[in-house]
Amino acid sequence: MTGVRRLESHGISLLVPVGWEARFTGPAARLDDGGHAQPYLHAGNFALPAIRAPFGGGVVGELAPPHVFVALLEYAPEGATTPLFGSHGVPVRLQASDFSASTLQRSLRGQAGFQRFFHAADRAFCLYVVLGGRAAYQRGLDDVNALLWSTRVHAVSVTS
Amino acid sequence: MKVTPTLSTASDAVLRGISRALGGATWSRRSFLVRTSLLGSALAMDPARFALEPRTAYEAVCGPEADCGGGFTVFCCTIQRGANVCPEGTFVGGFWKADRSAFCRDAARYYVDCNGNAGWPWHCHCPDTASCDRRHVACVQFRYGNCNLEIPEHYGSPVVCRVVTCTPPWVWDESCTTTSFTDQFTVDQSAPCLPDPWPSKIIMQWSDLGGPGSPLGPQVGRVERLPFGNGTWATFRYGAIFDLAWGGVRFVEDPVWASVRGRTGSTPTSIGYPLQDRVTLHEGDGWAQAFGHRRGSGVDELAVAVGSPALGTHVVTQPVLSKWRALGAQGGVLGYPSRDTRSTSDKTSSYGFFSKLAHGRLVYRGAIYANPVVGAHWLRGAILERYLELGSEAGPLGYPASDELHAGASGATYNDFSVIDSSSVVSRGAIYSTVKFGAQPVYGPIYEKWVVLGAEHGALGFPTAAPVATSDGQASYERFSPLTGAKVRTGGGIVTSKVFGTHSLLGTFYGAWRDDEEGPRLLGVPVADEVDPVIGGVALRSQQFATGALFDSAVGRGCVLYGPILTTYAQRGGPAGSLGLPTSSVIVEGNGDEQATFQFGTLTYVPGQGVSG
Repeated sequence: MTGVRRLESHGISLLVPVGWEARFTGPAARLDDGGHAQPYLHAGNFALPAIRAPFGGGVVGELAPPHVFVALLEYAPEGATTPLFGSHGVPVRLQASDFSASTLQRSLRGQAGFQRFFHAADRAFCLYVVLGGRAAYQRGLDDVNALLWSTRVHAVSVTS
Repeated sequence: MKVTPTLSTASDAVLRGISRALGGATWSRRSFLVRTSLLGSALAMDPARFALEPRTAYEAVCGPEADCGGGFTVFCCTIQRGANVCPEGTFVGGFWKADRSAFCRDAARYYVDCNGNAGWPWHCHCPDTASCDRRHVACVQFRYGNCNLEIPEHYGSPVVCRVVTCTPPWVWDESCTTTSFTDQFTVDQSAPCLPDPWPSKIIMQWSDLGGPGSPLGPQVGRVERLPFGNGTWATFRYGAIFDLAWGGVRFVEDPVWASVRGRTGSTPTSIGYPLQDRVTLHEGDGWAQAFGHRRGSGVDELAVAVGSPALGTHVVTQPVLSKWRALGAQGGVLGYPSRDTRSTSDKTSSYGFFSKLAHGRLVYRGAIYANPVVGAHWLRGAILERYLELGSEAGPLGYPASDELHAGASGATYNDFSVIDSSSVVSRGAIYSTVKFGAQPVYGPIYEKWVVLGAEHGALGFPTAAPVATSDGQASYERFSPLTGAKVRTGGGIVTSKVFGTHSLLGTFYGAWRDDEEGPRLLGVPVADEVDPVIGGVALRSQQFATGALFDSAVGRGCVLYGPILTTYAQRGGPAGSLGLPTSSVIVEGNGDEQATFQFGTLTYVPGQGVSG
């Protein structure tokens, strides 16, 4: 986790801030039950545990200041034109006021979350960010914005 | 259609065929959202007894992070007295799954978020419950985002509670997509109101449907072995679930259950077990569910319960069922069943009634009668109503022996019928329906004579009324007419009597005979058909009756001879004799003498003195 590094996979590229770890999980796959798993990106300013659920299960339980966890999850491209994914482009310039203690998949004391569905390059995504705590969050938030600013979504089909 | 994986491939194909035959789509849960009316009945139950399955140690049931501060949302059944459905005022916001869940018999378990509708007064709180599931209510603003994509993200409101199911959400709820997220960290989370680990397939299915909040309602009977057949079943307030060794897990709910309960099973009089879940029918917002038994590698379909909002649910059994299917089932000529299939009064046959509706109104009734000798045939409308008036299969027509057929004239239709004795046809008949004459029967000797004369294509034409008895009760007769109207030698009637047989009366002769029958009754019944010789270059129509005769020629129209004058005329050779053709009917004089004129003479009868001339 030394130096800014470029990461690209599944038609998404980004720069990983210094001190951060980022991993893609994928590719898209059809599951035995008829469902479809989609690729996702996890990033954090801490060492990501090996086993993580898409929205941070296995991660957020241990999250504390100044940790920040970022999940960028892709959905089936058909969703890109729906109202839920109506926002366009990767969210950038997140501010502390964008985060709420109730915007969490699992509400844990001290944590605050941000969730935004959007489309980019005809693909559907959800950005989910969790601050480990209000204390000393600004550095982490700056890193999140840098990561998001560098994120590029390319028009490729990644669904199976 | 959806088929339980335990079905054999052959059975699977058969059941798909059944579903296709019904023209329907497999019934779905439609939504995880509450069905308010059903939930009301569920809430009236003792909340501690939603499921009759044995429960494990209470506190151990809920799994980790079960307290209000654990960060997770409560299960809906905990705050809804067992109903595993989204509460009123919520929408399905999304779902995730945990694989290899013991709660789903080692298959995936799905956790469905019920997000509150905007404008509803949801507020974050800890549930007031004695359950170990004390997870919070309506405390997180979060969307999984794989259901109801038409609802914008900022419409959102908190996740009120969670429904769990072992069936993929997109199967139950069309608003859900197949985009799937897996989170094994929640695999052990549960609640006392949800099935225990390794539940029976029946209880698992019931919970998936919503438990006590499902259309089946609360459980009222334990899971038990079927009294007949290889499998288990359990009853619920509004239905039953069967786990058939050969057919998978099937549920039957009201109103189908109300129409088949007591008839399922393997006894000779039963209709077997459900072969499929209920299907929705495209025509008329109806529903259907097939029942039957396994036979070899396939299934033997014995019955289908078919319903519509207008007509209710009725059970159609074989062989009426196959005939109805062949006619296009509910979308065909007969429409939906309006009665269960029943046995006829003689117990040899079965019949079912149907109703064809248009815009909620009855267009006509229909029926299928299935007899082992003449087969299964359908009839409808005016023909059916006439058939019923005449006593249906116990009446003079017996059983339908043909489907409705076109009679070759605009709008004219008919069904053939046969009276069956043991295993043979003893008499035949038909009902013809025309705009001009309505639906009229013809049967027995009159029918046979009419057929010999060409039926509706012959000189007589179509029956215009039911047969009636003569005034002395010794014979019966029936009038016929072409649709274009009767002429001199077309239209008419047929008279049948045990003594003199069955004979036709063509054209004007029928009118003459009918006037006599209803008046002086000088002629009696015909004893022969009309004879039309040419005498001395003059065309003659003549017909003999029991006590008289009719003659019609250019020299004498509609001459009625009877009594001593007719006897004398016959003795003198009749039309070919010395008197020639009649030129008048017998005329009774004021003094009681009778006289008739002929081409070449006159005959006079004076009572007490005989005939002279």
